Amino acid sequence: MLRVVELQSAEASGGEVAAAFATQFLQLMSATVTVVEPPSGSALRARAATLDDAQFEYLHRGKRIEHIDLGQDRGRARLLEVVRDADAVVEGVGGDGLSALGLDLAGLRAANPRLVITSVSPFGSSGPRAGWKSSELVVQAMGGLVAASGRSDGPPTRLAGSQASHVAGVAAAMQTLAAVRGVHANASGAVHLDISIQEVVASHWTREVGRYAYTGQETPRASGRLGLQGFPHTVPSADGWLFLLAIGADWESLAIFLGLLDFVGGDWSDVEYRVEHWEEIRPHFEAAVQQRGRYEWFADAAERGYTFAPIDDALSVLESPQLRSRDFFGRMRLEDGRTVPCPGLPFTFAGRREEWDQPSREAGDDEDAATTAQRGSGHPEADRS
Amino acid sequence: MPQFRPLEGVRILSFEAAASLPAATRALADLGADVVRVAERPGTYNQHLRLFDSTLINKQSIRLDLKEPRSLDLAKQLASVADVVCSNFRPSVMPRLGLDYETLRALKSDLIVLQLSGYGTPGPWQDFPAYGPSVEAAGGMNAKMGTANEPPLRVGGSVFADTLGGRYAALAICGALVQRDATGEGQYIDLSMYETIVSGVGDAVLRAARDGEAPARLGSRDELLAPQGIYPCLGDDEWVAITVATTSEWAALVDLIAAPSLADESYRDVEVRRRDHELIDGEITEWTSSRSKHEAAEALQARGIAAGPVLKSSEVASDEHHRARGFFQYVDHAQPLEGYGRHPHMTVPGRAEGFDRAALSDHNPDGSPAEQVLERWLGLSHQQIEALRAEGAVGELVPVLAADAPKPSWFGGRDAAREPEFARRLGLGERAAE
Repeated sequence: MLRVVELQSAEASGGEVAAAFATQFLQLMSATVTVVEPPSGSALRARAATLDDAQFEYLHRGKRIEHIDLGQDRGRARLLEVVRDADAVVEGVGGDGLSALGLDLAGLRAANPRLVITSVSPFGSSGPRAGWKSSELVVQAMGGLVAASGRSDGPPTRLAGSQASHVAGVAAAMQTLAAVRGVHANASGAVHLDISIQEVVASHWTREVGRYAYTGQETPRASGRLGLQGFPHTVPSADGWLFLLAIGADWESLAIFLGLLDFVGGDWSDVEYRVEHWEEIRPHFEAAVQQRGRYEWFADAAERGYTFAPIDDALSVLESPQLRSRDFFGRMRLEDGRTVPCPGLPFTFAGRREEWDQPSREAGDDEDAATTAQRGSGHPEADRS
Repeated sequence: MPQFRPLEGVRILSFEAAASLPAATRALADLGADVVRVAERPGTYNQHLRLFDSTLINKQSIRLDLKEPRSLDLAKQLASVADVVCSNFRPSVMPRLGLDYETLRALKSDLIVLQLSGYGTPGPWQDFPAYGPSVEAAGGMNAKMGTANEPPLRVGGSVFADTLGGRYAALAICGALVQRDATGEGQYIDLSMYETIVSGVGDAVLRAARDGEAPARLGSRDELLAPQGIYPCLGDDEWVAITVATTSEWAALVDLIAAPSLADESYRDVEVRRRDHELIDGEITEWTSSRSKHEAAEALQARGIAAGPVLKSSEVASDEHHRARGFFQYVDHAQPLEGYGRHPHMTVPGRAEGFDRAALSDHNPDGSPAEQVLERWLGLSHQQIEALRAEGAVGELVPVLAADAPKPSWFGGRDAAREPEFARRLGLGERAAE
């Protein structure tokens, strides 16, 4: 079982959420994760104290938290002791953050010459903007995806939640594991990874950036416009929003499927003509989509090869028959004693889901009892240990 | 400096289509894995998209008609010497071809097999077709974007969920490799692109489960920090993103934009700033509107305030910070593509200290990839390979971009403008003679 240390500081640097996401994935893949926090608490904890938005619980489930005062010699010695047995350290405290904690990479490497150290920061540790201040919104914007998100007649809009931190966490966890594999396979020395959240966000729209590089075409904002078939993608159904996408579909079949029989054949076959006469089609189109529920449309469209989808929100997605049948939601025990569903990893090993039911545990608590609370694991290696 | 290749020696056989799994294997190839892609039939995926997506780089392709027994045999031989076999064909396809997990595992007991699909298998939606934007909609992304009064919004990039699914697939594969190296055991991995989106908004889902309602939609604002937003700047569709996180940053902002109406002491309290967000936005807009987005961001950063220009798809590759970090590298083509001999492409994000970023190969590597693959993986001689070709077991690769490839003029919207200066801006050099 891998041992991973996550470093957090009291100052928000812009990399702290991504680092916590990265180790969360590793934890769900059955690594033992120790979060090293200052005695006064991390920036993530301070935010959670003011804003009860469940992010802290989401990012810390199953992790072990150790409060260490790195301002004291004893604290630094304790950290090096933890690091000595670790496979990887993931930190989102920033270059200045490390020195503010009294740490440097050389010291960590000296403690463990085969350590993988993964630093996650908004802009990486080099380049003219390495020292720029950032936030989730700022790094999303500079990654670029924001420019094309939002209504075509409105401002650019951020992606949902801490999406930049999320995708950077995935990339950081992946490269950390790749580096650990390399260290094991080649018996090589310590590795330091420098993950820029801006780069990761940019890599999530390679197609649009590549399209400009090859054709000079800019990508306009996506929402509100009429799509490839000449109608909008987001339309209200009988019981909520429906997403209509049918790339490459033949208009005649699609129109018949939607019940738009008056708009089949002749000039209507031409998408430009349909766009020009959209106001004529619109009432019929909207009334047709309103006739049925979003899941009903979704299933019938799928049978015809169309990639429609129900638009669910954070609450309604809890009812998704697909997620329920796949046992996607784990259980989270809340402070008030209730247990509620909580998303797990989006992949399974041998069809098994990881299980947990407690947000985190503090070092010094009854650790045996806490470990028992993490019943089983989706990871076969963990099951044996 | 050497390149960072921690996955050197790992062989990956990929039955891949569309954009998701190709993104996974591209990332793994950049980290040193030997990736062989079983090419689809010509015409099944728009070749321009393959080009823009950069997903052929650093891989070799082999064309096998899997309905032909001899080709299928060859696929099995390749699988028997691979570390990883992965597919994002529809979940029913690999079993139908006789390439199900049990069969593959019988070929090599410690094989790692991954199936990536839109919604995951098994499950009632396992056979439903999906593109990235559909699973973004279903997974809760769209409903959380924008403000309370507007319809759900869409992510701007068309491969957001595909890239995310690909990255999670790469993460799962790396995890399985570490595990296999420790235990000697292979693995079967099932990945749902839909679930990657739900995980990405997982804190909101947990909160909804706790509170019985979905969290409010705040547009580009933050629930705690204020002001935060995206503000218009000089020029057409030019914007700057700003977050004020502390009281001292607020004081610096008020000083910088010299707005007397914001000087009131009560604004030191973030709750008051959240209450008056509209008014504050108006004052900030007044200041940003007369400056370029770069000028505004630099002035704000100089005062210690988090701010950055909203970069467009046209600006990412030429961004000076990316350039300084070597994030983009030029790929030199054996033959000009779309009129130019080279184009910038992203490397895998992140770098390892003391190592160079991965070098990027052309989309169509020199020589005969099929021959190289069969020789390298199976030790076949030139004569044996020629015999396989003669009996049709191995097909000829089609060029990445055939001269008559249909142009996706519709792509990204039917009305995308074409910028005349892009080649100069990106340093593509002289346009090749037609």
